[in-house]
Amino acid sequence: MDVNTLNTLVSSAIWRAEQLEDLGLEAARSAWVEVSSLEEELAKAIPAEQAEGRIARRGAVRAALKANDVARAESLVEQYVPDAASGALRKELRQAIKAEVNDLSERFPHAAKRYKPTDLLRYAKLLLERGPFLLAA
Amino acid sequence: MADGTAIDLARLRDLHPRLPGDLAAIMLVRAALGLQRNKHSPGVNLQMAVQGTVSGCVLLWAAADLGAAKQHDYSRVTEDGAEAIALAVAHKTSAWRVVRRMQREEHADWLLEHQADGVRRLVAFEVSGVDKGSIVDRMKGKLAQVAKSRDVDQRCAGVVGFEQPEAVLRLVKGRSYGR
Repeated sequence: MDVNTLNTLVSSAIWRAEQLEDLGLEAARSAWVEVSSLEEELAKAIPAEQAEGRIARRGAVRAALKANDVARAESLVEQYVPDAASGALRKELRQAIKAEVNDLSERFPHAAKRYKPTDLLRYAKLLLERGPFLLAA
Repeated sequence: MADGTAIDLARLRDLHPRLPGDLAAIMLVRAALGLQRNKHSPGVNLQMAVQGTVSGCVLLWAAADLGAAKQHDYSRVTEDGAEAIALAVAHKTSAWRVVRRMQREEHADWLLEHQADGVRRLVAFEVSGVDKGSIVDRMKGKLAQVAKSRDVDQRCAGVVGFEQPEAVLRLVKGRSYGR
């Protein structure tokens, strides 16, 4: 798929995900999965030396976090950091994960004291996906 | 104070070919609803102020059924309608075109492009709409927001007021971080 088509698709997907999020609908999460996937395709097509490549890399990671898929976000950061082209982008990508951990630590302070950040992210994802009773099971 | 030219919102996708069709369609309906609920009809004069240069033009659109307005969120009519008008004005006055939509954390709604001296330039474009009243405070807020945008050559805030109607576009001074 060419870059122009990907840009059109990602525009549509971001707009849809934001509207669903504003309405507080559960479908927003799957919409962000689609955004992350399209941003990832753009990141493959545009090198990190170009501004649009950096925007796509940040977008892929952020959208994965908005979809509560922390494992995917971490995997994308690991993939993008070596060829991030600038220290600033590396910092931004790592900062995105850190911000998510901080946010979850505020929402779940007791869990944050007990678990390592990576475990906290994993449990938070399970909690958000399955609810507290299924998490306990 | 129209200068004899017109902006026809129905041509929005001709001006911005990378604007998705589904998105453009809903933006156009909401622009029509935002204008019509302020008692405007197609052919109204749109006052434009782009980087301090004031001009006017005739604004045309396909009339929408105001009875359908209840199906749309009130503030989304203002915001999405403003985006349609601001994007049309950005193209008419500066020949800017949509590259893609950006996520909120990029501090702008749209990434636009244009050619300057044969070089492609990227613009972060943040848009907002005001249904009634002054747009001055909103412009201050949007300029502060888009000033945080990175990796672009220019950063621009666009605010559309539906009451008059008017569209104001202002660039942030200084270079963007990452460029």
